[in-house]
Amino acid sequence: MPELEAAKREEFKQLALPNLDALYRSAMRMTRNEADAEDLVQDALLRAYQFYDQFQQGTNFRAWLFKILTNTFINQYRRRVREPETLSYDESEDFILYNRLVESDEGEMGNPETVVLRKLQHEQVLAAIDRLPYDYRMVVTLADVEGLSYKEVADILGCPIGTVRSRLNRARHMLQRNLWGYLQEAN
Amino acid sequence: MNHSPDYETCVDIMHALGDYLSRELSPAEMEEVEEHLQWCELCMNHYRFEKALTTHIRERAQALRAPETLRKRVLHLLDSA
Repeated sequence: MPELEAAKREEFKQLALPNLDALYRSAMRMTRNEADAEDLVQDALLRAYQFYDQFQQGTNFRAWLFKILTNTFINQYRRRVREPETLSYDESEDFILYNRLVESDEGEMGNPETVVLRKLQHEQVLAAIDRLPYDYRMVVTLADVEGLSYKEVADILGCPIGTVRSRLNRARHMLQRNLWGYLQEAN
Repeated sequence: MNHSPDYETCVDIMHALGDYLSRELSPAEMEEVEEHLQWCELCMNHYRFEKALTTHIRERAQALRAPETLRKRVLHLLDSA
């Protein structure tokens, strides 16, 4: 019945389109290039529409979309994406950015957070996230950028909540090390 | 309550700060961290920094928007799907 199909299409659009920016942001962190990110979002949304009948009303639509985006990336794009070379991670270096800033001359001149907020630009923040290995950049993107709960992130990435928790903590420390690198380059 | 610096407690609190920021600790643990932050300047400074940094990262990263061409492409594809 065409009327039913049209109503379903409108309903899907109303639910899906407000998430377009968030899906694109995550797709950019997955593929790290604009053309692939656009194709990925498009493929994921078409797939979501095809399977919309299987979406359980009352459950989290946003998390469902992110799960489809993630699965589409893994099945169709991941092999093509070159992963960044990452440095080894030193477990002992917690709070690296805070510690280095407090030790530095700039830290003495004001709050360390003021130094960071003033100097770190949009491009540097994204580049610092993109230098993390895939599993780490995705927990930062989903939890810290998009504000999803650990449980939602665990469902999307298909791993236990404890893994999300430990990866996110590690990812934040790795991210701080990358950001410290950019701050040093800026000086 | 009388508070004095306690290295072990501060280490535990600092390890919990990330989950505290994400509001992913149990209610009892959330309360424990909150209470500690009220009097411990060292942990409070760390917390303030981590919070400012996480907010900054979120705001900077969220500045990225989907291109208008993608929005049009998606609408067109859905209409012809």
